[in-house]
Amino acid sequence: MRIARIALALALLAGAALLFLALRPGGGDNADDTPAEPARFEVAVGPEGPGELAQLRVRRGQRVELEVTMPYESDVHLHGYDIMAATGPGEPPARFEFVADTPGRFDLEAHGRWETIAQLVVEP
Amino acid sequence: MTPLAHGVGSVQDLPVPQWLFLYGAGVVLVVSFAALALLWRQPLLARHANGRPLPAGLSRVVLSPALRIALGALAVFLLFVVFAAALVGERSVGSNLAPTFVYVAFWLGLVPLTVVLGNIWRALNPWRAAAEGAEWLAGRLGAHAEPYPYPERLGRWPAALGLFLFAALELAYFEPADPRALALAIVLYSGATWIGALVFGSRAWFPNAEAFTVYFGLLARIAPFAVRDGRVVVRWPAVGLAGGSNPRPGTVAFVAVMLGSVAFDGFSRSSFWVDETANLGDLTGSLVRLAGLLVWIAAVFGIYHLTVFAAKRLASTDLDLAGAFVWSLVPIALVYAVSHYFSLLVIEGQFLVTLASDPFGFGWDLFGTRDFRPNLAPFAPSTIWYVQVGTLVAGHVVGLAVAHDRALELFPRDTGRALRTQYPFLVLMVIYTVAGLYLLSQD
Repeated sequence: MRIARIALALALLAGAALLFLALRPGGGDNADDTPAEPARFEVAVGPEGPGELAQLRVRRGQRVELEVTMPYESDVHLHGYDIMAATGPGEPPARFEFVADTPGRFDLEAHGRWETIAQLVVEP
Repeated sequence: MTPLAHGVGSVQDLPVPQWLFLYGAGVVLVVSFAALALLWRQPLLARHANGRPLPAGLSRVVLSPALRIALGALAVFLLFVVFAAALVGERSVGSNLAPTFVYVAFWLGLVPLTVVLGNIWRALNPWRAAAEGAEWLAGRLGAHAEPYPYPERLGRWPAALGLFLFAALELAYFEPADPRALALAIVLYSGATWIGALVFGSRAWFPNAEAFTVYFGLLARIAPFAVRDGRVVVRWPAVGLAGGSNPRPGTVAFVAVMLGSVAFDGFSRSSFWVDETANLGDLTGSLVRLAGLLVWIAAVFGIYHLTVFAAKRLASTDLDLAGAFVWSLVPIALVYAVSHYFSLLVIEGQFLVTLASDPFGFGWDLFGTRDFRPNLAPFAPSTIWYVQVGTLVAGHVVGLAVAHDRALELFPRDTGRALRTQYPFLVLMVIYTVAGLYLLSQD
């Protein structure tokens, strides 16, 4: 009885491991297929707020060119990458150029009335 | 485009991919039903709960008054530094020690230490150290007054309220990392704690009503080390959750706040919630998040009591199942916290190296570490996902085992009834765990 239980537990574990290996997508390091051309985004926030949050998706290692316009004077700040640029009505957009070398999700924040105005998603 | 230092939550994990969510959920289901067939038929964990004593010399050192006083003094000093930074330091997360210390070093960092080493908060609690010091001094001066008896019925409800208020500050308030807000919170919390300790005595107040004593005390039951009768003992992990008496009133509510607040934190990062709340102002946003937090805690609490109701019907018993089974939720609360916050702890914890040198943001360089550059990608995303899913599944298994052991203890000569109480709790844990996995997989 006891041996039967241990055998069943081991069989379940083995099954779970096999299923994991079968489901798991191959590779892991996809650095080779990072697009060579930069990802360009424009985030334009209107007077009524950011609305649905834009997700800016890029691949790890890709160059990003991002322009943000705001309806009021504001410092625009990208979390994690910790870069900041100022913009306001009638001014040139806040411009960011960087290489997305850290994977994860990063909030783009406009200091002032609203907090998060978009999210950068850097996929591995 | 200028660079600047920032902290607390600068990087968020990528969502767990769909296939891994489905795999994790599948394993949870299979493991749960297999557990019913595979688990032991006699209480097993409870008799190991007392553990094996370590050498007496080691206990004498670890539990010595000198060490207790030294750690207590250090804790009071750190509380003072953090409070001073919050009160007069630069008003930004990146250059003020207080937010990162409170939300990362204290709130997240003590969790793994407690689970590995045992209840170190007992010695590191600055409020308790100060209160006990004051009581000792009052005794020496002959000014000691007999404290009022602590109302039993109040139980741990004040601690549950305290933890809820802390969660509300962190997750609902619009500027949780504002040092001045933290300074005010420290004043209010310290005042309430010391008044409570003065009225009811620290011996009654802290284990019942001080939120962090209850929080770390619950987690310490998982630890392989504990103190029994003045000796340090070593035991299997998590056996401290088995056996023993039913918890004090309010413990279920406390655990519901633990689980519900982490779940709400995960939910509030989903694109659904962010889209719905992005355009709200500071005050409205705070109130809406507060309502969301309450709904999640109430949901955890409500589902638990529904489960208890079903279990009582199935086993036709009037025993206090709500109290008896609450321990089995502690591992789940732990893995909720680990899976949501471990990468945050490792990433943001590095900022402490920088902040220690310049805690107030005045341009100091006390330890020469001001220019330390943290590594914002210490783990591959896939490593984070596997740890998240793996810990959630492991917590689920431990929770099941603890609940199962409890049931066998409650119905010693009636395994059938013990198993019948298990069906609803099995469903409950599957719900909690799969919900946790689902929240991690959301965009």
